[in-house]
Amino acid sequence: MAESALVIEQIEKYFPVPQTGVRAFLNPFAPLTHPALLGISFQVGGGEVAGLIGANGSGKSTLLRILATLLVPTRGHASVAGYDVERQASQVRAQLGFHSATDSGFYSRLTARENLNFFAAMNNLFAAEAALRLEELTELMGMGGFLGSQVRTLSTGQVHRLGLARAMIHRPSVLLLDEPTRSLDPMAAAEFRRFLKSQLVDRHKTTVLFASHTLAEVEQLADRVILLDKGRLVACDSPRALRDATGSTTLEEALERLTLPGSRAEVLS
Amino acid sequence: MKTHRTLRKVLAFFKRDVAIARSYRMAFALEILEAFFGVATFYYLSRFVSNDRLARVLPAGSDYFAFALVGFAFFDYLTVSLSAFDNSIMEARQNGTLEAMLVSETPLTMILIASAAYPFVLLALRTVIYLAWGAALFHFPIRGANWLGAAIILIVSILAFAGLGVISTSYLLLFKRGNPARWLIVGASSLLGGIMYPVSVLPGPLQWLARLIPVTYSLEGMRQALLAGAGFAELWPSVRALLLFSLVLLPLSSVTFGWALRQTKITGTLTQL
Repeated sequence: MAESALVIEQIEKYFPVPQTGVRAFLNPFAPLTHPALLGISFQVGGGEVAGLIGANGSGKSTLLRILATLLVPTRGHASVAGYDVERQASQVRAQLGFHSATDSGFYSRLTARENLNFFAAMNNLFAAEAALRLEELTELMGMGGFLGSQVRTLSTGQVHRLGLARAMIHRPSVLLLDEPTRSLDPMAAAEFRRFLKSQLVDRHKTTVLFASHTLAEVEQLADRVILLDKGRLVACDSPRALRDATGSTTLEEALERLTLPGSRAEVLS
Repeated sequence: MKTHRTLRKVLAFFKRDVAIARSYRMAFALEILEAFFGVATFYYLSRFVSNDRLARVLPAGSDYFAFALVGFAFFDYLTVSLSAFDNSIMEARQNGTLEAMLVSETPLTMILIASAAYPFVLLALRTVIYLAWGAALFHFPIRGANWLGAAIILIVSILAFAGLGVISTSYLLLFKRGNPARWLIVGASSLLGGIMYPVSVLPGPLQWLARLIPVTYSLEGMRQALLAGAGFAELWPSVRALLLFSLVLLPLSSVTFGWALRQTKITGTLTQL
C-alpha cells in the first residue's frame, strides 16, 4: 500500500444525550454518554478508494465529519495527509474536499458560477486559477448548461453536481464523500463514478473515502470496503476478499453474514 | 501573500453580499426613503420638546435634533456589531453553507470578520444618508465638524463593539437562539448610553453604571467631534476609554469564541439550527 493518506487510530466518539425543556436549561453541558464510534482503527493509502458501508447509525457520517474537522473525537487520533485533524486542522482542510448528499447549501439567489467563485476564494484560489479550475470542472461535471443560473432554479441533481464541484475546486489530495450519488439519476451517477475513477483516482491519484448504501457502487469503485456496525469496525478488506471470507457470491450477502447477530463470530473465526 | 489572501476573502464575502442584495432590487431605495422618515420624525419631535431646560443639559453648540440624530445614527454601530456576527452564523446555518465554509481553508474567525464587511459598509452609507437628509432639509450642523476625529471615534468604537459582538456570537454558537448577551448589552446601552437623552439626566448610580459601557464614550466622542468640532485633545478621553474596552474585550471574546467553537465540535451541534 502507498504511504497512508488517512490514518484512523482507536477513534472513539460519544455525543451528549439530547435533552429538552427544563432539563436542557439546567444542564446545558450534558455528559458525553451516547456512543457513535467505539475504537475504530484503519488506514487508507494514497490514491486508494475506500468505501464505508454499514446500516444507518453505524457511525459512517460521524467518522467522515471527524476527518473533515467538523467534529473532534472523544478519544483516539486521526490524520489526513500526515496532519492531525485536531492539532493541525487548517492544514488538514487544505488537503481535503468534503461533500455530503444532505449538503445542498448554496446561496440560492446567486448563480452557480458566483457560488463556486466564492468557495474558490474561501479555498485560497486566486481569480485566474479559479476561472481555469471552474472551466475544467464545468466540462467534467457537465455544468455548462446551468452555470449562469441562480441556484434556486436548479434541480436537485444539478445542485448535487455543484456540491461535488465545490468539494473538488481546490484539487484536494483527499476526498471525503458522504453518499455521493444519492440524489443523482442513474445516468448521472454512472457518469460520476466513471469520472471519479478515471479522472480523480487514476489520473490525479486522489485518495477517496466514501460512504454509501449502494453496494454495487461500492463494489465498482472501492479497492477496500470498511464495514461499520453500531460504531465498531467489523471488516476492512477488498470486496473480493470479503466475499471469499464469508463464502458469499455478492457483497450484499457478505454484508448480511458479517452483521447479523451470531453470524459474525462464525465468519471471523 | 497572506494579507492578499485575507483581503481577497473579505472582498469575496463583500461581493457575495452585494450580489445577494442586488437581487432584491427595491431594498436600497426603500432604505433611503426610510432614512428620510426617521430624520423628519426626529426633527419634528425636537421642535416639540425643545425648551430652555433641555438646552442647558445638551452639549454646547447642539440642539435636540442634532443630539438625537447623532445618537440614533451611531447607536446602530453597536446593534450592527452585535447582530452582524450572529446573523452570519444564523444565515449560514439556515442556508446550509456553514459546513461547506468550515471545511474550506478559511477559519471561522475569518468568516465572522469578513461577513461583517458588508453590513458595516452599508451602515456607513446609511449614516451618511441620515446626516445628509438632516443637513439638507433640517439644518443639521455639518460645517464645523471634526470629521477625522469622528472617524477615529468610529473605528475605536467598532473595535470595542466587535468584542461584545463576538462574545454574543459565542453564546449563539452554544445555545443556538434566544441570545441574552445581546439583549442585555443592547438593553443596558439603550438605557444608559445617552442615545436620546444626555447621561447627565440619569440618577447618580446610573451615571456611574453608564461609565462602564463603551457606547457612552462612543456617543460622547462622536457628538463632540461632529456637533462641537472638538479637537483631538478633547476627544482623547473618549478614544482612550474605547481603546481600553477594546484591549479587554477583543482578547476575551477570542478566548470565549474559541472555547464555544470547540464545545460545539465536541457535542456535534456546530451546524445545527
